[in-house]
Amino acid sequence: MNILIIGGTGFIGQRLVKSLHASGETIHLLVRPSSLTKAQKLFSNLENIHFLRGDIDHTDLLADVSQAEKVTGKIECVIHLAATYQLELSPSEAYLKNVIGTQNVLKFLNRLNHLKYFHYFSTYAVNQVLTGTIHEDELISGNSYFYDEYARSKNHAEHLVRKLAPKEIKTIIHRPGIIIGDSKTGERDKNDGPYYFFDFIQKTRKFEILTKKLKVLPLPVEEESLMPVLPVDRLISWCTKIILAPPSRTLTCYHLVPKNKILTKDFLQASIVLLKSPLKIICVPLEKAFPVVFRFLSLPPQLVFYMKQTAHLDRSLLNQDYPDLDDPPFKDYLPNIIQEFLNKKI
Amino acid sequence: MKEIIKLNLGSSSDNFDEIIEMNGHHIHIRSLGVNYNLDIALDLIKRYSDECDAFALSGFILDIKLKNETLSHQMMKRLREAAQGKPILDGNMLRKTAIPWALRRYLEVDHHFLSNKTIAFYTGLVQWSYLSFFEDLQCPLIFGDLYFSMGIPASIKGIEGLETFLKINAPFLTRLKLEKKSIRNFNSTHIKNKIMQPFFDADIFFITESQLKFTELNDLTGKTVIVDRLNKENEDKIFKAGAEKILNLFPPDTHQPRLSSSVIEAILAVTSDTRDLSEEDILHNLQKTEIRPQMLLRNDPHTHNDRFAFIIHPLSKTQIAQIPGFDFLKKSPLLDFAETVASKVPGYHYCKITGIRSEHNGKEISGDLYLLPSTPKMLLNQPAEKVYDSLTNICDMAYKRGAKLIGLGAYTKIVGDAGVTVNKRSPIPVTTGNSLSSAATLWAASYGVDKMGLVTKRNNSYQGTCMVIGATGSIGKICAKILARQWKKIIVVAPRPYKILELVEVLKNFSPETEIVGTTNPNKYSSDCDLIITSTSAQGERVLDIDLVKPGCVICDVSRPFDISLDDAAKRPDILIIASGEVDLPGDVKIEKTIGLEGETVYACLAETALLTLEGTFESFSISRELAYEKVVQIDRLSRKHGIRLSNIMGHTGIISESEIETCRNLALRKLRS
Repeated sequence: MNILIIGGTGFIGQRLVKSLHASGETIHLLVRPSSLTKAQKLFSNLENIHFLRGDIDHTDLLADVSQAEKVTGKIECVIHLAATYQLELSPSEAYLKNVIGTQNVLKFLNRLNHLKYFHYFSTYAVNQVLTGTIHEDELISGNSYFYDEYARSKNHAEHLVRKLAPKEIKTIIHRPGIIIGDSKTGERDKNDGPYYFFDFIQKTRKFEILTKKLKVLPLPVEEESLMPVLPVDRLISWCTKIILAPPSRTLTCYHLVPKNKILTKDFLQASIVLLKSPLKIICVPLEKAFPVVFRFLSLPPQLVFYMKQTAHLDRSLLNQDYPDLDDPPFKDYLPNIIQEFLNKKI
Repeated sequence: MKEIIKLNLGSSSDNFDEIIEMNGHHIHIRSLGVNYNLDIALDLIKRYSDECDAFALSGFILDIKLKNETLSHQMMKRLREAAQGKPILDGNMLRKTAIPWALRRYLEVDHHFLSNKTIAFYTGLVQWSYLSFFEDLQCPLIFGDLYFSMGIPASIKGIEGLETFLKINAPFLTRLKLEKKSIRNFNSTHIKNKIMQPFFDADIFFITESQLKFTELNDLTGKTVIVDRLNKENEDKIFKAGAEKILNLFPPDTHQPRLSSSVIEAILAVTSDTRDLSEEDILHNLQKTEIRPQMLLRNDPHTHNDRFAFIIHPLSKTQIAQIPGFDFLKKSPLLDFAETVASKVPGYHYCKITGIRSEHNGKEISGDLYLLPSTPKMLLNQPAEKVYDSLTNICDMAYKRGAKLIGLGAYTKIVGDAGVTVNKRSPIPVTTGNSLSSAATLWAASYGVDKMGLVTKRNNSYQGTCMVIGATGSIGKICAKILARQWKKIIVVAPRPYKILELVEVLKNFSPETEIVGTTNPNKYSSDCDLIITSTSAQGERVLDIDLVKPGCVICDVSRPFDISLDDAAKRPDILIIASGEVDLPGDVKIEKTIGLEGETVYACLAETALLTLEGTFESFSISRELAYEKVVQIDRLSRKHGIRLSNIMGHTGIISESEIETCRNLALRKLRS
């Protein structure tokens, strides 16, 4: 299968490229002219991989490609995972990359006359709903309240995908949970998500009154809040399976999250133990104080949502379509993650 | 290909790309929502100013043109600078012309649509360019938000109020940080305060398609909403808020793509040769388009309980004493005084009529009766203007209670110009009910002739002679036309010979088989006539020598005051004298209080109001003293369709019973034999 990957040089993208390449697929990579050298270096040991200079910022993605028609005639599958991800994005940055970029990709799909599948990487955070159950076919209105611009832009982009993706192809929306490092090597590329917390625990060592006397750590976390963490290698193996044996519906959306609920406090407590800190977490959900506490703890205020969300992410469609995805408990891989965190500072 | 970028104030989850063809040009339109964030708008304009040919702004306004100055928000100035000379269009120039044009087109078919209605605007300034149109129609205007959509909690009345507010606050407003605001919620509890109440009380709400995206609507139960454009989603949203009707000014045209005003302006700007778009360009373009505003009604069985209203009044001072609450006056010497006092009392809601159900389709309606406690004497002695005011007030009340049509009963339709002025001032159409009154009188006449049984009937045609006195008048002419087709011979009487000649000619063409005679002297032929209809303005003077009339004749006295005096009537018990026909409404009709008639019988003019409501024809069906033959025929047909029938024939002093007719017939037969 000729697969065009957009965003193949990112943390998830490069692993997906390698995984699909290993399965024998022909990979075309859309890369910005400025990152072409980096990309070529990244995949220097892979054969049969084609680089296309292009930019999703442009209305015409392949404006720089001579004889673009040759390529566009071959592509059967497009995987779009280019996005800018930071909790503290400005509205314009998030908008230009995630919304307009996706809009441009969608327009580009219409040029591919052999296209069969479009895989779009969204995020579970498109539904910033605090409680209840979030189903896979659910997408809250673009006018809803969002805790961060990233989530807003991804929500809007997913609306566009649902509305504008060509109806004659199969569209698959992947909504990964919180992606952390590799389950075996712990390899990561930046400290976000739970890593904010690991950093924070390390800092608490300075406060003797906490570690020696109190031995408790009051955290602004809801007792029942959930943390859908997923190691990157597991995400890649799941997605590879989905891409190679895609569902036959016109539109499918999967929550790529662990099968069993992970309570935030359990995950954090286990991390604390591995970080060899004597502290015990107590949850203090001080509604109004959240932002203040966060600023004090030098955590991004947008994290509030992730500490408060108790909503269950339903993945019954994923279970039904792919019943045998491997999903060991977090206690099995967490030591590797922590070990790498301690070994390699980013 | 020309590139247009449309920036919507709303959410970017509605973005789209589209290539359209217009006037031979291919145009790529990208619609980008800016998530209520003008910084994003600014960044987008910076980013795309060298890639596109024009920007169209939707949902936010560039400038506010006051009488002597133009206000521009500082952010708008920055947007314009960022565009580096590329035109930025906001659609206001187009709306300024197109919206009043479309509204006027709609007013041609629904004259009352805006009469005396308060119009509410969700944000005053976006509609700035066509507010004066509404003010010219003397509609009170009210604004739910004054400047953009930033939730300034005030409701200001009239353009002047808005202008004053803007002038005073201009320095502040144009520098105000346009905050990132998502949905503007008019349904939240904190906005439902006293200041905003007049806004929520308005009759008609005006909102544009782009505003609808970020406005949470208030409770619109029973209200009408005007929109410039409407998609299914918005239609559902408006009806869900309870609205009764939506007037869509620019319904989709299959030949043209659905475009917003700002995009149309942008297209004109990029495809025309001139650099700056002018009103002339807009006018030129509009001349090539066609508009057919469309009224959408709520498709909800519960709201099909259409209402009508009807105004009644006491016909004499003794009837004042019959009004519940006034019965203590019955034997009081104060009755004369009470008559004067009562005439000063404004009209009020008297009672309800319920359970009127069409025999044709089962549609059920209800009505409200309003009582104006003035006797005929008081109504006719007051200045007409005063009576108009009282009647218009009742029309307003009726409208607020949800009535869609109001009927004028008894003398209220005689005062002044017979409903014309009241109709003009009323928020809902007014009808006098005269068409059905005429029809009912003719039913009564036929009923009387049949009951007397002295005229033979062949092929539905009476083999006798009938006469219409006052045949060149409005009602007389209609009676003459109808009778000409029902009788073998007709005598038409009027004071002016030249008018008679005209009428005879008309009738000959109308009914060539009938023998038609014109005369100025009714007494010459009255001894031959089996039916005489008098409809004159003789003001009680004698028009007919009763002694000469043929025994067994049926006289239908339509004139008020009567042409046949009570004394004359008493002289000839062998003649059946009918004053009018009363009717029964179909269904299980319940009238809460007495209206001076027996049982559930109603006045024919009330029945016309109910009938038009059953039919769903909310128009000033009968107005002024002029009546149309076609309308009487039409109302006759509708009556049969929905099941309105003659219940009683009325004489000068009340209902004429079967036995009275029998006595009359026997007397006549005896006289004829001798």
